[in-house]
Amino acid sequence: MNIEDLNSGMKHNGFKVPENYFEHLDERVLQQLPRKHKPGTLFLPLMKKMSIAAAIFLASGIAVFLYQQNKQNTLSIDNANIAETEYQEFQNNIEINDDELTEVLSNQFVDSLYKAEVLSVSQSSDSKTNELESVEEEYSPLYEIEI
Amino acid sequence: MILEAFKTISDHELMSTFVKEQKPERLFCELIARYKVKVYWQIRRILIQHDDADDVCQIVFIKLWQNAESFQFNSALSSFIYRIAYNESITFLKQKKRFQSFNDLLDADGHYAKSIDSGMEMDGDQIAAQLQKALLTLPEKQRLVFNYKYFEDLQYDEISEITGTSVGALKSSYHYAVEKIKKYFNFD
Repeated sequence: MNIEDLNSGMKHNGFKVPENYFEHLDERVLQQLPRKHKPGTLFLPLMKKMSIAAAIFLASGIAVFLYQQNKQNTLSIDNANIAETEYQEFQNNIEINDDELTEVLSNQFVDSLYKAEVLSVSQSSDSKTNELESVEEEYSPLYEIEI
Repeated sequence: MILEAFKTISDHELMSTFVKEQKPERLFCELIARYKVKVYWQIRRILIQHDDADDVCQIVFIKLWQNAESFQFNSALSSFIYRIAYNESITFLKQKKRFQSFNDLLDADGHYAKSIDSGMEMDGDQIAAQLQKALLTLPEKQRLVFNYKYFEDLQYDEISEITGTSVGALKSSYHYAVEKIKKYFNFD
């Protein structure tokens, strides 16, 4: 008898497993994943709202960014005509506190994956705080940008 | 759940689609289906007891779900998953050691040997049970490589990817493991 005979060629390791263990394993794993809704019921409509919110943040971020760029370009060309203090005031008004932003967003999202995505979009844009809150509640289009 | 459509796509394609489509459940089900048996048995052979293996097996698939984006596609998906399984099993063992004061040998106080003898974990095949007890007398690294090489039939380079041990060290460990098992059973 040599070592290969130990398992009659089947590599059977001798451990026993509860009946139907593997059949039930899938469901038990899925239940622990960070999803609170079954796809197709509440989860999907919520997903759509998040996508819309993310798109709006992105759009507003780009709009405000372009506006700022435009204003900065004007400053460098026409420096004497625009008071430095006025510009600073404008800058301060549109900056929002990161903590406030986090708090507003974290109450709205079910899935933390999407929170991370939207936060990174928002942080790169200088959006107005009150407009953000109205977007959170209504998912409606933002203010008109005046250029 | 209709999974036939995903049965034929490669592991890499499955994984890539899974990440791109933001981890849909139906694709994750296919991942579980492909790997649950192999992963479970690799863990069970390390941890001996079903309940422990069950806990770690679930952790492994949850970690796979969480870390899907970090798969590099420059190696086999199997290695990626088996590596998670290996790391989680070792972590689990180390935590248990803290509670039960084991020394470097896994089963210094015969705890696992006793659970094998109790019959709770085994299916009645006496020779298989004896082999498991023999393996528990080996240093952990030898027992591990024996399981991967003998029971899983993995190649040394895949075992190396999974465990982080060099191929040379693995070959050496396996050689010693086989010699000791033969002695244990009084083979020639």
